[in-house]
Amino acid sequence: MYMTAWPDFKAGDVGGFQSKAFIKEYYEPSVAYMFNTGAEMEYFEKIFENEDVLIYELR
Amino acid sequence: MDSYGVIFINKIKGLGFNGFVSILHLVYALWLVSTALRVLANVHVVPWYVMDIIFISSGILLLIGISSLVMFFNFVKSAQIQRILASSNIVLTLAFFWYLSQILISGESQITVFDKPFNSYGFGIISLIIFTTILAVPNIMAFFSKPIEEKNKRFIAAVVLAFIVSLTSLGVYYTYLGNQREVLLIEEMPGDAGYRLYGLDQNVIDTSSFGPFEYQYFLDSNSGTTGHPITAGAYEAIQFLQGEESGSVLGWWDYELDIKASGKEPVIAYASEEIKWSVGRPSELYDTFESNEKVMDVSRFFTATSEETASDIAGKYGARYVYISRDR
Repeated sequence: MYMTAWPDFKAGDVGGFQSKAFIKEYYEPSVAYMFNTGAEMEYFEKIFENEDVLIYELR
Repeated sequence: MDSYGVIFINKIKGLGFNGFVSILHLVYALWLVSTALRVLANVHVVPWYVMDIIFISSGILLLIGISSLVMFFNFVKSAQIQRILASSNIVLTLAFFWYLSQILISGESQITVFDKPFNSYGFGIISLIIFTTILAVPNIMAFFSKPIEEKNKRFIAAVVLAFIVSLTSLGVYYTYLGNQREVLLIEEMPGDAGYRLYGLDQNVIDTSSFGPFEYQYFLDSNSGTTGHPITAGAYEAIQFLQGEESGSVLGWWDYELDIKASGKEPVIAYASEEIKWSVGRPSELYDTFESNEKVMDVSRFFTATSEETASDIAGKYGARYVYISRDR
């Protein structure tokens, strides 16, 4: 997804997608991280959550 | 005293060109028939398109194998008939190539060319060229062999009968598996693309090519999709979305089927042509791609570091919901 969003992005530069550096620098600050962790958000309201799927609705 | 090796080589030399081609046909026949039957013995009934790939491809290999067996035994004893059989095998080989070239996997995997049939005929272009070239060799050579000219009409009838019995058996088996699939059907979802939910039996779960997994259901459709197993949690989410007001849904294209089965419209339903390398079976299967701009925007939606940016992208496509899967 990162390579699609930013074609010049090279995960290898930060040790790969599984590296701590990538997770810290790119994944954790992202909206995807907020969604995946089920965070409460300002622009999106969580309307469904179970062990497999989360669904948000734009406020 | 000659060793067994030397005796064997001398025997092969004694066979001449015709004998060598004949032996080659026997080897090919055993290989192709056993491969086709082994693949057919382990067919999973979902997704429907893989079942179709397996039946069509295995059927072609089976016919080539039977034809090769007929040529080995030289039942018909007619050079003309032998050449017709060789020609039909070459046509079948070309059909095999043409059919699978429409549904190539996006990259060559590590498994050998000979193991590809056991992996749902997941050929890349290089392995497909190699495989079909190997298939064609004995049949091209058969053009240059001259079997004894003693036409025997009884054996011609036997050959035709063998083809009819093989094709009929395949048809019956296909129908039987289709019925098995109907038994697994749990729910037909709304929509005109035939979204169907199947309960996976334990055999499918234990013997899946993905290894034993936790998915209890399989979501399939007769539209441009590849179908995939889903968990009970995903099924619950689909049912939830079905009850929500209309609106398009932002999610990665992997989940288009889940979203469509809920009666909602995904912002993207396919990969873009630019990232087809990341797709197992490319959506070339149906020759359908999203625009790269749209796919990039959805990627930027998820990789954005501010909710405002993500919200703007969602607004650009009129999205109302966001679908997040934790299990795939």
